[in-house]
Amino acid sequence: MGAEPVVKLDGLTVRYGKLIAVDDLSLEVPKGGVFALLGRNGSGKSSTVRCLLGQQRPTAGRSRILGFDSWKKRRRAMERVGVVPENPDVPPDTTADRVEKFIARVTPFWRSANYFDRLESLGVPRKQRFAKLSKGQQRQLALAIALAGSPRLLVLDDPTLGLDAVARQKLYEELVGELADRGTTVFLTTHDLAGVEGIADRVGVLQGGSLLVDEPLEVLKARYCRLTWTPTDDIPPERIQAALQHLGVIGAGATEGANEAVVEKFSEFGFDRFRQEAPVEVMRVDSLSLEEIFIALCGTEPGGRS
Amino acid sequence: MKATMAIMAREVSARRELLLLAVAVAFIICFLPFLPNIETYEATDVRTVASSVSALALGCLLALLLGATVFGNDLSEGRLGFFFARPVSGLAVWRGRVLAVMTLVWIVEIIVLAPALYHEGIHIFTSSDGADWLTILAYVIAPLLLFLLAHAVSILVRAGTPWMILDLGGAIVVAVFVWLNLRPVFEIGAPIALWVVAGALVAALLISLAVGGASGVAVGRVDLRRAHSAQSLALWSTMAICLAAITVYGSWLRDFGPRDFSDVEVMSVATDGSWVEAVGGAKGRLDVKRRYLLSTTANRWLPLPAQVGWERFERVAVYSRDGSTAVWRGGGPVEEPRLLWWADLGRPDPMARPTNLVVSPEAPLTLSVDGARLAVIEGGIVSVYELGEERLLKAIRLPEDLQRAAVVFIDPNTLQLFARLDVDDAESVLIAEIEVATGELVRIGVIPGLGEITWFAVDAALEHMVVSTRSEGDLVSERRLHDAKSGALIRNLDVAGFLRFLEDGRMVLTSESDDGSVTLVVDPVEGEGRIVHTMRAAVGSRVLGEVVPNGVIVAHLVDPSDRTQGIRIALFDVDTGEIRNIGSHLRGPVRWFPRQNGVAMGFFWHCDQPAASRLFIDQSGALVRWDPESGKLIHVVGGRE
Repeated sequence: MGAEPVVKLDGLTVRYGKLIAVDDLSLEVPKGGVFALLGRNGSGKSSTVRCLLGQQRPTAGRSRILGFDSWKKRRRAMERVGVVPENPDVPPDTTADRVEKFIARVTPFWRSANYFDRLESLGVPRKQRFAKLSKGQQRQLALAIALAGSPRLLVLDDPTLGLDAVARQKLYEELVGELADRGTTVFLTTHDLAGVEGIADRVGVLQGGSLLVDEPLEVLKARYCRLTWTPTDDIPPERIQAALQHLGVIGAGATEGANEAVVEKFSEFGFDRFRQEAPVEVMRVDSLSLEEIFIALCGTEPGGRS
Repeated sequence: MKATMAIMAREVSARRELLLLAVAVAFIICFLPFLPNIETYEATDVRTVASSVSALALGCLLALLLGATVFGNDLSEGRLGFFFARPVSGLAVWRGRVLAVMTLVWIVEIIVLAPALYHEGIHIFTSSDGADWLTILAYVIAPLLLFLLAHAVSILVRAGTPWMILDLGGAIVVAVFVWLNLRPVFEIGAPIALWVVAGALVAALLISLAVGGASGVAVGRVDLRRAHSAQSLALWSTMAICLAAITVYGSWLRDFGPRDFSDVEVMSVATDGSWVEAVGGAKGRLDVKRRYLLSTTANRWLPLPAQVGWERFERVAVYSRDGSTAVWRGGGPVEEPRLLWWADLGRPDPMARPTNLVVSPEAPLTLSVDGARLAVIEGGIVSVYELGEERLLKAIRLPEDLQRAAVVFIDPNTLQLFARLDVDDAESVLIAEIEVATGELVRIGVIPGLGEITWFAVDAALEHMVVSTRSEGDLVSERRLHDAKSGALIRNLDVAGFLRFLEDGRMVLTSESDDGSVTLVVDPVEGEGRIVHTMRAAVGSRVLGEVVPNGVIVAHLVDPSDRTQGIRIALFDVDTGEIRNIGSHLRGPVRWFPRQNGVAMGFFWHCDQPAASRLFIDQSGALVRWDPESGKLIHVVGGRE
């Protein structure tokens, strides 16, 4: 038997009346990994995170953090969990100092020095009310709170929302640094696909509450490719289309002087078969960025792939 | 608890500006007496009143405001996640915040009360009877109740889920239950029980709101809609349990029979037969009293309305002369007309039966000797009914000067009427006869110019009557013996003590001397044969009614120096003067209340109550009766412990 995963969702389902927000979602995040849960707005990410943190009771299924049921044993589960919410929820009338006084009393593994050092290094004022801080400072404060509790799991719900490019880069660099130091597991939801591409080692994509993809980022990126070939009159388009099926074509089109296809099952073997059955002159085989893969998966319509 | 205290400390700290507000209000109150128009009042009074009122008002206002916002705002703005991202339970979040708010509110109240406390000290929380719990509870409980109520309403309004239907339905059901629980206790006139039940209902509301709020936070957590559903479910299920318990308790408080009586008061006694009207309380039932028509010889009783007027000690039942029938007014609002009920007490198993007659609370009721007919005087009209058939036989409008009247059946077809009439500050009694069949009214006598009539009594045969009068400013009343038909004065009676007609028409007159001796005169009313007895008895002797032919009961203290020893009773033969002890260490004779035929007539009673004089209350509070055949005292109901 392997080690207990840090995060385990088992048949998680969330309904709001007739609307199914999360549909039978199951996934596991092993210790030390960075898991990025991606999805369009309304795909069920926030409901999943709320269930994961024990803030919302799922309609069916269950979620576990560090082996604890996050609804029934939320208090135990949250002892070693740091949370950076989508919208920083620190009481607006309080200061960083007062927040520390409160959290230090209720968090068993709290490290005040770590907290204050972090605030100092980031230049977050300790005596200023939270509502008066800039958005970036509010997020830095939220991150400082999340990390000062010596978490084994860090849950980041769209942590870069509202941050500029520099601040986003800084945040990710810090996260990577912290992770390297502590071996903390990260569960991340974000719309910042470019940013997360550098730090996530596993990706899940939610669409309409269902999990479309759950695999290591490297594997995902290896599967998704864009083929570009020179058009020819010798080989009819139907034959090329049939040959592309071996690579799991999900989209095709033409640009000036070249034809393109995006495939989701790229492999050396499949590529060889494609070339045997449709001996076109392939100009390029390009890997897709995470953003391109995401668009290919989720498309522009609510229903998914375009 | 550590988490609760941490949250509480954080919340108090976050709202500490409220304490400055309280200090400012207290400061203003200190300077109030110097304001124009107010400086004419006593400065200490102004400060005391202003700070007492302001403290309560500010406490309640803050409780309302904080109740509506403390959780509601955070839930609406998604800020409650701050607490739920920590290893603290939902209950700790609820407890911590509620404790913080209430601590703040109570401290604010104390600060604003400071000027009053400075001048009056702790006396603002006391009354002549000790602690003024109503005031203390107002300062402590009212803000808590308002806070919880405002929180519940705030969640309901902000969430706006279909659970609102349950909330509204629940509120209506609760209002109905509150009415159903309080109304019967109010109607039976038990103020302590009323307070206890009302207090239990307030406690139920507090508990339900607290449980509902806690559940909303603990189960709903950061989701406003789920918080509302959890709150509604917990609130109304807790309320249902509490209301069920209160309803059961309230029913238990009210519903008990004569067998449960711990103490007994006898309100009326049938002239003949064994039936009495008894009111009693029971162990653990607070001040709740139940009223029953019960047989002192058989194990039978009929329920009567517990309270029929503002006065608790008021008789309800009216009996026929032979004791075979009783009528009474049913329950209802004190000043409203009531349905008339009756029972055939001669049956082996009598039942209370409603009639279709509705009579006003003051209308005098009179039954014929055999109970077959009922006369009611109401609105200047004498209505005579055939009781069994509930049929009106005759309605006779009384002349203007005869409307303050009482009637007595001479026979089923004839009524004798006694009316009071004021002429130049002196009262007269007019006497008339009414033929039921024809409705004809004939004036047959008058007793003129009597001063203020305090009571009058007529003998069983309606031949003689005694009228007790009092002139203005006199403490001692005068008694005169009159012919009950013509009203002619027979003679003045020079006694102020006990006076009663015997069954054979003679009178017993008693008076007590300072040395404790009792002089008892048996007066033949007309003719010769006056008998005078002097009894050596203890101080406080009383002569009661005729329990057996020519035998009256004499009661006196067992030990005049120790009233707790109770009384001793003896049977006194009015002809021979023979006296025979029949019991001792009794609390006293029953306090039966004479038939009151309306305010207009004052006390008027037709004949003696021999059955009443056989009944006593023993030292345990039980009703006991003296049985002439065995000569023993027999337990009827109550007491025992």
